[in-house]
Amino acid sequence: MRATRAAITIALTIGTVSSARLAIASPHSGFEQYRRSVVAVTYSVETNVMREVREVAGRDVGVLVGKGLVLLNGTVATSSSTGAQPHDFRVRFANGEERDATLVGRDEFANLAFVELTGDLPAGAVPLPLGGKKTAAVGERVYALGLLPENLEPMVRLTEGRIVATVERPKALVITDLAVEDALGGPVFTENGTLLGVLSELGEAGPSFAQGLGGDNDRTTGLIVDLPTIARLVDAPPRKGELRRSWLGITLQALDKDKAEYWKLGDATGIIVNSVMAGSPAAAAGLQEGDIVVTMDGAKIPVNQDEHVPIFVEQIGSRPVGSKMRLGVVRQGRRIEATVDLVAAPKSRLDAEIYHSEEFEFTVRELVFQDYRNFDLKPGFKGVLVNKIEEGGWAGVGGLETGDIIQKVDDREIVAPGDVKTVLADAVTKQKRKLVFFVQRGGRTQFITVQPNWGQS
Amino acid sequence: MKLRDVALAGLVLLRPLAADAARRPAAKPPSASHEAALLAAGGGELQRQIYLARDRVLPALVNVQPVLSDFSSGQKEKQRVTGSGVVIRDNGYVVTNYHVAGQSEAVICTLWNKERVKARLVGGDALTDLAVLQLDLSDYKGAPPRPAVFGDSRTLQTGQMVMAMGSPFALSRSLSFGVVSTTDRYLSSDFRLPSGERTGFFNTWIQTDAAINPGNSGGPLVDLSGEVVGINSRAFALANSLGFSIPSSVVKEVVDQIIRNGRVERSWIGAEVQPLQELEDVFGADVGEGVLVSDVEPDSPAVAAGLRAGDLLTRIDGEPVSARFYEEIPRFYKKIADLPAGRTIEVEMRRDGAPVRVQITTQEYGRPSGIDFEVKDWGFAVRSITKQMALDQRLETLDGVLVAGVKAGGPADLAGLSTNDVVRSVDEAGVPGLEGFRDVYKQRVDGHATRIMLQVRRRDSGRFVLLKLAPAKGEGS
Repeated sequence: MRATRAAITIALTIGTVSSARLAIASPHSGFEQYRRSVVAVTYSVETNVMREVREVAGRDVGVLVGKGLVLLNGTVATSSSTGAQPHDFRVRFANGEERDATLVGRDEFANLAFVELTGDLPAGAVPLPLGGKKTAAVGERVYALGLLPENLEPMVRLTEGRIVATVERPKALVITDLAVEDALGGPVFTENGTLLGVLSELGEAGPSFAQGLGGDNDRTTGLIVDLPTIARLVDAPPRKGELRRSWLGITLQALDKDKAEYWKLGDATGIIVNSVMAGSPAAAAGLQEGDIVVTMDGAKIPVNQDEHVPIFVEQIGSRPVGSKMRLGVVRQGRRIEATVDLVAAPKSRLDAEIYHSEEFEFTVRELVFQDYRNFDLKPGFKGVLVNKIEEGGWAGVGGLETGDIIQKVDDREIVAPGDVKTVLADAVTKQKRKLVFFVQRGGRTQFITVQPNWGQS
Repeated sequence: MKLRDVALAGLVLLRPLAADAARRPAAKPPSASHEAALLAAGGGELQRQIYLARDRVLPALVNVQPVLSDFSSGQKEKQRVTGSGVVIRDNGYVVTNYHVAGQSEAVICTLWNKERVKARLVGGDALTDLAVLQLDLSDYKGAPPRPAVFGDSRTLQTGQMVMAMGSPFALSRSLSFGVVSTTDRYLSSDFRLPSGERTGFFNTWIQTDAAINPGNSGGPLVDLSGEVVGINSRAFALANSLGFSIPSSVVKEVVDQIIRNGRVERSWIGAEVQPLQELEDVFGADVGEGVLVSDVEPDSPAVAAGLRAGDLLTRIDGEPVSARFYEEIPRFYKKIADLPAGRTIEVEMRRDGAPVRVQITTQEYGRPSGIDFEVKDWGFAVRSITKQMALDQRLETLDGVLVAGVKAGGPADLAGLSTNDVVRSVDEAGVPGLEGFRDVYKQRVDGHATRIMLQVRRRDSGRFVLLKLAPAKGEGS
């Protein structure tokens, strides 16, 4: 008993007077060094299960990566449900201090997101040092920092695991068995305290370049996002609404060995164009359904199974917007060439404009490209999507539902959330007794009557 | 006992799988009725009426055990189910539900006297969920079944006493008693039959608290005069005493048409309507006047005539039409459906307050579902695509065949084919429909092809699926 207490005292003493020396030595030193970069990020997000929309609270690991910038896993900052956007971010530091924060943006490809703090950095909070690049070997022991349950202070915990694989295709990845549920978004370091990167995940919710590698996702596989990737994003954080990636505007599948053989294409690899979206760069370049793309700027496309399609997507996405690209195409057995002028990929849900009506208690957002695919909307279709409804609010009582696409309110055509704002503001001014929404629901249109109850909200 | 009921929005169809229960000895059937015996039984006038009503229907009551074919697993699978039915015409015509026997290959019926006879499917109508069978009485030695008589469901009253008769959980010749809970229950047409068809556009339902369980499907709802006022079809799952019957006024018409033509012919204009309630002032209608168009189907007669959402239909061929409440919507759809296909109707309407007159030429409604075909060697099943299927699933054309099921582990499964894919071409030859598909299939099978390239449409994208087949036996040694 006495001996143990003495040992603790010594450890604490060393810890305070000589952390610099310990930094070379042990997992404990890594814990001490990086825990001051770890924060708890809380937020509200809307979930939409079986058409029931609910506001839920989230709490996730974040790491401080700059004076006011907190990095967190991309899955935290978005949600797969239609139009859900996290909001009311709050960042809690290891010393218990809290700051408000706002979402800056998200990089879908690295699956990382950023929030920006309001106010000064608390004393003792230290951004994660992002310099250098250390690669880890398979079998090497690694550690990650995560969060303890709420109310336990200080809140940082250590998780242990190993590097279990390094993957080269479709993209270089370092895979770990670190428990993702404990430390997703937390710093990862080696036994001797050398920082490797941030823990991310592989699978459906993982980085899009890794999609398809998750397999049957009973267990989530962790992967480590390396420091250079993080440093690059910290230098130029993704901003909401900023369109940076190029796209072609096709759906595609891999030209595998069997299909190449069937079409007598020898050892060709590449991708098969399954559909071409109207108005896309691919359409402008004359690409057609059934085309087989085998070269890109003269180089072979190393894709011969569907799991590697993301290699092609990544190759396109990383080309600068505005650049030209030559594609070698086989169409009905003949070789042709197509030149594509790359443009930026369309806005995503996360970047969509939204409008919330306090009086009518519902939220609408701009339709984005994905919606046209999800709801089978024809090109040129106009409207806004209802993405949140308070069940007992006027809109909810009137029968408006989440997922409705509003095309008209009274006689006004609705093409953007601002139109809803205008027409509802007018209804407030005139204390209108009734509004008629013309909506599309499940592919069919109908009229919905909303009757406000002025003065009795 | 395993029940394969389809639950959607809490509703179940009342068709359990056939089970041993059907073969258990049942209670002794009541002896032939006569007034003196009934009066001697006691219980007063009500009891006497119940006995009389029972005896008018019992000799028509049938336990129906069809063998259905199902393709949803990618291969033809036979399935035994059990339900109820009632003899409703001379010559052994039995009415039951479509979801009981509408897709049957063979049917065994057990009569009230426990005699078992075979029956054939005369025809079915998925849209009202009704089917007609005919008993094969050629080898039958017992007393001929006595048809029950249809009553008039339009004069039913809420609170009126009724009995449900049939085979709940395959317990044949069961009778339950209750009242009409409401006479015109509207049930959303989002409901689908196990075979995938949407159903129930053309009628409201009689709701009753007489116990109705799986197995009651197709059995009669009987009033105290012993007349059939409805065919029991659905119930709410997890609820007590919430059963729904198709009114006899609808059943009678459908049965007549099926016996006459083998099917029900309907017409279609492709206009969707919604209740006007709360919207009269907006669309300039008097209360109880007009039907509001909420949507028009693509390539429909309504579109051809220039109809659009927001039009207020006031008269068809001079007769006023109206739908202020949901309960009145099926009446409008039925009015259109009852017209002969190809008939040009005069439609009076108001658009933005101004009177407009248009002519609409109706089209045949067509079959809600296509014909299934097992693509045995390739490990999947397909269904021909009808106009109504294309509208329902929002397919852009009628070309191709729909994948109805993929056999687990078969060549199509391994190649990544999915249920609901539309096969558009086989080895780059277009597939205009089921006939064309069958021809190509036969040709490829006869030619012992080992590689088959299917081009499919899946949602808004497409996909090439390469089937790898083992070489036929005797080759490749």
